[in-house]
Order: sequence, then C-alpha cells, then structure tokens
Amino acid sequence: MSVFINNGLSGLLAAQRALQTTANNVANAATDGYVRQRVEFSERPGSTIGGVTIGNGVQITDVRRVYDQFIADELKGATMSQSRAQFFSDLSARLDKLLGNPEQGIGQSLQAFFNQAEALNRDPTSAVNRQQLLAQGDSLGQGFAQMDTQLTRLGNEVNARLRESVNQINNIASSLAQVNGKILSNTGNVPNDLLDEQENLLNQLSELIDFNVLRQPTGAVNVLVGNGQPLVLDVNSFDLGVVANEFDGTRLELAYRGQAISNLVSGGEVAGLLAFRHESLDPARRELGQLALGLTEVFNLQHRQGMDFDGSLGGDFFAGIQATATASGTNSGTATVNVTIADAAATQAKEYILRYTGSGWEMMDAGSGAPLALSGTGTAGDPFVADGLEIVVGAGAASGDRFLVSAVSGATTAVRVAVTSPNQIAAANPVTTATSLQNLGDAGVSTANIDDVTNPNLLQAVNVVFDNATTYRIRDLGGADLTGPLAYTSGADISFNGWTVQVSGNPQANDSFNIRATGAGSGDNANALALSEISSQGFFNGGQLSLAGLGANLVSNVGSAAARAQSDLTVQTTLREQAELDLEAVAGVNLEEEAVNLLRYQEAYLAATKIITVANQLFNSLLSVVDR
Amino acid sequence: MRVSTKTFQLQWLNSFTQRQADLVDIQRQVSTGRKVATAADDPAGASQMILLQQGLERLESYAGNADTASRRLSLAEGALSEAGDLLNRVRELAIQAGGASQTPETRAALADEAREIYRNLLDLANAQDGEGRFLFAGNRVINQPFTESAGVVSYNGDDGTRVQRIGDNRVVAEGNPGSEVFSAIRNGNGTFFVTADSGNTGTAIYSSATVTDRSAWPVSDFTISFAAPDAYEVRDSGGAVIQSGAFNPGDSISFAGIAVRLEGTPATGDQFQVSPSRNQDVFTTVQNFIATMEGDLSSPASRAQIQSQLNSSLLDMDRALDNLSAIRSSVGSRLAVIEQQADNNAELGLQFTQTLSLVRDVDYASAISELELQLQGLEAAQRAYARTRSFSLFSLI
Repeated sequence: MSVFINNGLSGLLAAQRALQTTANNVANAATDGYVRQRVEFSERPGSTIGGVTIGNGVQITDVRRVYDQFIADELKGATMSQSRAQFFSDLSARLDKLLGNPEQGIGQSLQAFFNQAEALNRDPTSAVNRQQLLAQGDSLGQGFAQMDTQLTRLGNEVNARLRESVNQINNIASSLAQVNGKILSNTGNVPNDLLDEQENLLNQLSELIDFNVLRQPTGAVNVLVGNGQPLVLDVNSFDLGVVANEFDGTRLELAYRGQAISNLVSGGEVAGLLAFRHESLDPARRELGQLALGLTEVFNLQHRQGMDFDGSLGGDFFAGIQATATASGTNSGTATVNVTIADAAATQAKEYILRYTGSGWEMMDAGSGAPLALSGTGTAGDPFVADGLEIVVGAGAASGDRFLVSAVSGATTAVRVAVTSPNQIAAANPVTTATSLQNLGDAGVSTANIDDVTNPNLLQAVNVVFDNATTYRIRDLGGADLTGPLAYTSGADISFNGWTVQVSGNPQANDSFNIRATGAGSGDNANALALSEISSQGFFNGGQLSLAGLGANLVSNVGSAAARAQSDLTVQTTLREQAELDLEAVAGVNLEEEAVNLLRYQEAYLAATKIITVANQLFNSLLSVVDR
Repeated sequence: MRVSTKTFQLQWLNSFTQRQADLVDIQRQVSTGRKVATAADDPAGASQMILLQQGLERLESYAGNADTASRRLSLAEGALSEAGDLLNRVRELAIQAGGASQTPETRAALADEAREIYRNLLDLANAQDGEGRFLFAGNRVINQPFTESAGVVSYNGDDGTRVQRIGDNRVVAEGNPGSEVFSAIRNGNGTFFVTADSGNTGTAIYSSATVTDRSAWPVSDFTISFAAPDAYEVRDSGGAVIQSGAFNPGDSISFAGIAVRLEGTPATGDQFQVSPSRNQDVFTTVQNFIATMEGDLSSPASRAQIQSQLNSSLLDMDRALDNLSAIRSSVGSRLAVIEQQADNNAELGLQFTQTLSLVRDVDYASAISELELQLQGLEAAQRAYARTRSFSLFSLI
C-alpha cells in the first residue's frame, strides 16, 4: 500500500517539478542567453518481492540545460567575425561619406583651382585673375587641411572607441573571474543560471575581441587573447590597456601589460576598429597626402619654368613639402634620420619602416611589411635611395632602432601657397624670340622651349646671326661670338643657354633672330597654359597617373573599400544569424512546445493526485474492513 | 527543425528591418534622383563620374577660352578690315595722283587726306580690346605698340602670339602681333624693289617689276645704268657688269631671274637701283606717298622721278593690302575653327552628360516600380506576421 501511495507521490512531485521548469522556460522565453531546461525523469529502482519486481515510481535525475557547446562556440566565432565586420563596415561607410562623394570633395577643389589657372590663361596681365588664383590656391590648401582634420577626427574616434572597448573587455573579464569563483566555491552540481551567466559573458566578450576559451572540468573557464595572453585564469582577470603607437603618440594601440598587441587581434569590435584604421583610414590618408604632394611638386615644377609679371623666373607656387622620418619611442640609440624627396614622381602613397639591424639598415613597407631594396650607403654623399626618397642616417643607432619614413604623411596639412604677391605668378615663357625686321630671307623663328631653367645664362639676350644661307653663329648683343659658326638645317633644334628654338625657312646672310628674356609685364600665357594642363597629365607611376586620376582613384578606393566591407558584413551577418538559429534551435524556448508540456505535466499531476486519492480510498476501505 | 519562439519573432523583425532599409535606399534614390550617393554605391562609377564631371568642366573652360579668343579675334578683324579700307583709299589717292590733271592744289589735298589716313591707321594699330589691352602688341599687351617720334613710327611690342586652348589638343592663336600685321611687309613686289636714282635727268620711269625665275634670284643688289639713252648695263653689287644691251623705251630688261620694264627715255648716266625687298611698315608706305605728293613737278625729269615713286608706292600698298587680307583670312578661318570646335565640344559635352547620367542618375521608371515592389513586399510581410502571431496554443488553453 505504501508503495502504491509513494508511487503516486513521486509522480506528483515529478510533475510539479516539471511544471515549475516549464513555467521557468515560459518566463524566460525572451531572456537573452537563457538556455531552455528540461526535466529528466527516471524510474526508481523497483522492489523485488518473491521474485517479482514492482516499480517504485519516478524520480527526477536532472534539470538539464538543453545546450550544444559546439554550436555555441561556433556562434562565438561567428560573432567575433561579424562584430569585426560590423565596425569595419560602419566606419568605412563614414569615411566613404567623407571622401567618397563623387560630386563634392577634394577633386572638386582641385578642379576649381585649375579652372582658375585656366582663367589666368585668358588674360595673364589681369591683376584680378592673378589674385583669384592665389585665393583658389589658399582655399585648396584649406580643403586639404579640412579633409585632414576630418580624417584625424575619425582616427580620434577609433582611439576613443578602443578605450571604451578595452574597458568593457576588462569588466567582462572580471565578471567572468567572479563567476568562476562562484562555480569553484559551489560544491554540488553547477547551477544552470551560473552556466548561463558564464556563457552570456563569453558571448558579450565575443562581440569585442577574439579569444580562446579553455573549459575546466570544474566548469570554470580560462580565457586567452592575442597569441595566448591570459585574460581570465580561474578567479583572476588581467586587464587589457591602450598604449601610444611607437611612432605617433596620438594613435592608440591595444596593449597587454604595456606591450602593443594590436596586430594579434582578429575578431570583435577591437579588430574592426584597428582594421578600419589600418586598411581604410591609413591608405586614404596616404593617398590624400600623395595627392597633396603631387599637386605641390607638379605645379611647382611647371611654375619654376615660367617668368612672373615682374620679369623674374618663377619660384615655388606652393611651399615645398618635406618628407618625414619619425623615430620610434622605443629607440635606444641616438641616431637621427634625414629624409628628402628626390623624385616626387617616384614617391608612393606609403610609409616605410627603416630599421637598424646592428650591422646595417633595412627598409620595409610599413603597411604590408614587404622589404625594399636600398641603394647607396646612407651617407650625405651617397644616401639610401628608395621610392623617390633620399635617406641619410646619422651615427649612434642601436640595434633594433626603428624610424617611420614617409613622403606623404605630412603632406596633407602642408599645402600652402608660397607666392605672396599676384605678380609672382609665373604665367609667361621666360624667353621670347623675335625675327629682325631687317632680315632679307623669309626664315622665321619658333617660340622657345625651356630645357634647363637653372642655366645661369638662360635670360642672356643673344642673336642667332646667319653668315650665309647655311651657317649661323650665336652672338651676344655686343656682337661677340658665343658659339659658331654652325651648320643650319631648316627646322632643326638650336639649343643654347638652356633653351631650344627652331629657325625654319631660307635665311640670307646677316639675317638675325633675337632671343632674350621675356621681361616684366608680358601678356604671354605659355606657362599658364602649361600650368592649367598639368592636372590631367601623367605624373605618378611612370607617367601613367595624373593628379585628376589620383583624385578619382582616391574616391573609388575609399568607395570600394566601403563596398567590400559592406559585402563582407552581409556574409558575416548571415553566418552569425545561421549560427544563432542553430543554437536557438537547440537551446531556445518554443512556447508551443511549452504549452504542450504544460498540458502534459498538468495531466500527469492530476493523475498522480488521483492515485493518491485512490490509495486513500483503498486505505480507508481497508480500515473499514478492520474496524468491523 | 525545431524553431524557438524567439527566433521566430526575430526572423520577422529582421525581415522588416531589411525591407525597411531597402525601402529607405530606394526612397533616397527617387527623391535625390541619384543612384550613387557615395563611392561605395558604385566605386568604379564614382571614379568615372568624377572624370566625366571634370571633362564637363574642362569643356566649360574651353568655351570660356573660345569666347575670349573669338572676342579678341573679332575685334582684330574689325580693325584689320578698317585698316584695309583706309589703305585702299590711299591706293585710290595714289592712282588719282598718277593722272595727268593734277595741280599743286589737288596734290596738296591728296596729301592732306593721306595724312589723315596715316593718323587713323596709327590709331587702328594701337587698338585695344575694351579691357585696356592692345590688340596688336604681341604679348606686350599693356604697352602701346606703335609710337611715333619725329615722323618715325616704331614698334614696341614683340613677335609673340597668345594661344588659347579651345579643345582637347586644339589651340588657337588669339591674335597677330603688330609687327606681322603692320611692319613685316616686304616692299616692292615682295622679291625686289626698284628705285630711280635721285640724280637721274632723263624721263625714264619703271612701270613694272616682275619675277621670272624665283630660283635664279640671288637676293642681292643690282644697278641698271645707261651708258647711252639706248644702251643699258646691269652691274652687280660688286660693280661688275653682268649684262648689257640695247634699250628702247618700253623694253623689259631681264637678268638674275627678274624683269624690269622701263618707259620713257633715259639720259646718259641715269641709274635704277634694284634691291631685294625689305620690310617696310604701312606707316612708311603712306608717308612715302605723302612725300611724293609734296615732291617737285617742275621738270620732266622730276615728274619722271615722282612717277617712279608713285609706282613704288602702289606696289608697296598692294603688298600691305595683300598682307592685311592674308591675315584677315587667317583670322576668319580661326574664328571658323573656334565655332567648329564649339560644335565638337557641344557634341562631346552631350556624350559626357549622357554617360554621366547613365552612371549617376536614377532610372525613375525602374526605381518607382522597385519602390512599389518593396512596399508590397513589406505589406505582405506585415500581414503574414499579423496572421501567424494570432495563432498560439496558449490562446487556446
């Protein structure tokens, strides 16, 4: 009889526990990280009486979390990748909005400047046109500087977000350590809610950074980041931090115990931030710098070929841009490095690391790490030459000392008009040619091409005088021969004092052609024409890439980086959603299922109470028999 | 597969957010008319857009350059045409002056008119473009190109010509230097000129000077002299006789690839100098004519002198007129080139605009049907959600 009632009681208790579990499942149906629980029933061992085994009812062996750790860990991996992609894509999209607008941007400022140069062509004697070109040059410089400010702001945002992420990581790490403590101090079964909390924290961490998790038999977890740096070990957590970049104090790097480990993370928000900075922001900055450098160098080069309104040879229109060499904060030696731009056309939108090996210097691309061949010995007389740069290294370097070298790093903020007066704009060809009105022959002289503007005699006035129809000499204005007699061929180059002209036709004896400095106040626009053309002329990449092309590339590079980031994000999001689905399929609460369970356990409960009632009646009827 | 209730709801939520995001994008496209908002929408297209826009701006610059050039060329053409009229008038005066009926009074009147024309010509040569720049100064556009001092006109400009770019790989000279227009004009017939020696006492005048064989002309000085009224000699610049023969009035004397026709009767010892043509500016040409009009007509010999000079002046004027009309026609053809280039540029601009529009602009028809489709999709999803969520076992228990 007692077996009978006990059986009923065990069923009643089991159904009650099952109902409680179902209620808990229903209550937590919307709770993040909640893992559904299921009550596991088993038979109680039966009692064998007289060779017959009679069942002893039901018992609850476990309230089990229905969980699949493999799928859960897969989800963490997917979360790390997706979170990285998310931040990379969001920030790249911001950069794209900043630089990638095809209808307004630095390309338009550049175009406005060259349009003004074109206006100067129409009337180089106009003071207004000259003044306007200076003004446009100023505003172009400001355009570059503003762009740089905005890019710097994005860089600062990366810093701030990195700090914030590190704080969150540290908080999660310490929470994990606490949970570990609770788990370790628990002597019985590990409570399901602690396991849920632990899993929840790990999931949150996977949004921030990639890590390896080592599960202990005790239920505690150890977490490693980077290439094995422990973040959580049992009940201890170790803080991550930020340190200034060795070359740039305004650039923060992820650090573990003071050592930068930025290049060791590959997932989560932190990796997304760092990858954005390294793969989108830095190249955009360097390309902008290259555009600034190219503009300055190309325009100056042509400007120096001209003559200004005061009759002087043109100087630099824009202030020259200096290449930079920054010593690492970790250098222990005393050496300084001096770098100059030797060939602007050969410069690249790159930064380089110059490193002293103890026995010599080596250079590599700071972005890709690819080594560069250095020619020369690094002395002032024979500098290292690479990618258009000349590098002179001083004495006193210690082994392992590093320098960041670049032609373009400082360029964006350095675009500044150097010409102070509108008259100093060199619009004219410095050399003018004239045919003497006394000539008897019909030969004419071309305009002069300037081959070497540094020739000290470039502006010397000379006459090309013909002895007869076939020979000529070049004389100064006093009539003294400077060179000749030379054989005359109609249309052939006559080069002297850094210029080249052609005389064509049939000269007669004593015919002369005058070649002299253009002088002040000329309305000649030959150099202004050349200036206005240079934005579309090939300059970089061995003459393949023009300034206009570079500007367009900058926009499309930023755009394609953002587009790539976006499509990567789409892929990663799908993968993450799939993993979430997979996990939810195992661990998530289904209310229909719970409703069915509710009914099932309710029935079981009702049935169990019935059995107790029946047992009671049986007992009563037995008692009544005894009473009689 | 087992589906958790949360997943079920989340799936719906995701589907709504995704559809709404798509809808916003289409709405932006429709409201801005642009397919590409930033380079990320179409990186290659963005770079193409930039280059096309720059192309369009470049064409605009060309149009501005062409306007400037054609304005200056038109002004120059007006001045050249006026100068041509003036020179033609002087030529008429010269022809009149050659007639037999001239008196000292009529000659003085001709000289006066010629002086007036000379002034006008000088003014034209110093014409400006309305912005204070001289049209015929070469590149020295801010200096007055032609100045007169003691009756001598000198040129202060240079031989430069400013060019304007009016198309890709196409430039046009926006003027001609004053030296070319007014100064570098060969006198005589362009190859040589003849002057009657001022000591001549006969009545011979030269009436025509022609080139018979250009390649035989050595570009040097010769003298035709008469040892007797019916016998001539030609000497070269060294004084050596290179040819001699009998002379009858009206004969052409041919040597060194040229022929000089003399009329009238020379006196013994009379000489005619034959020299290679030199540059002579139009001002000198007109001044020579004025001087001729003021010359002495008292003797047959001096009348012959005057007639020879008149003949020279006429040749010089013809040369100047030829020069002016050659330059005018070159100006005209440059104006035509500018116009033609403007057409080409317009064509190119149209192509640029069309390509730009293809890359940049929304195709409204497809965008709006896409918008409709998105809206329908969203609505269908919402309806489906509303229906499915009302089915729950709990609502039936």
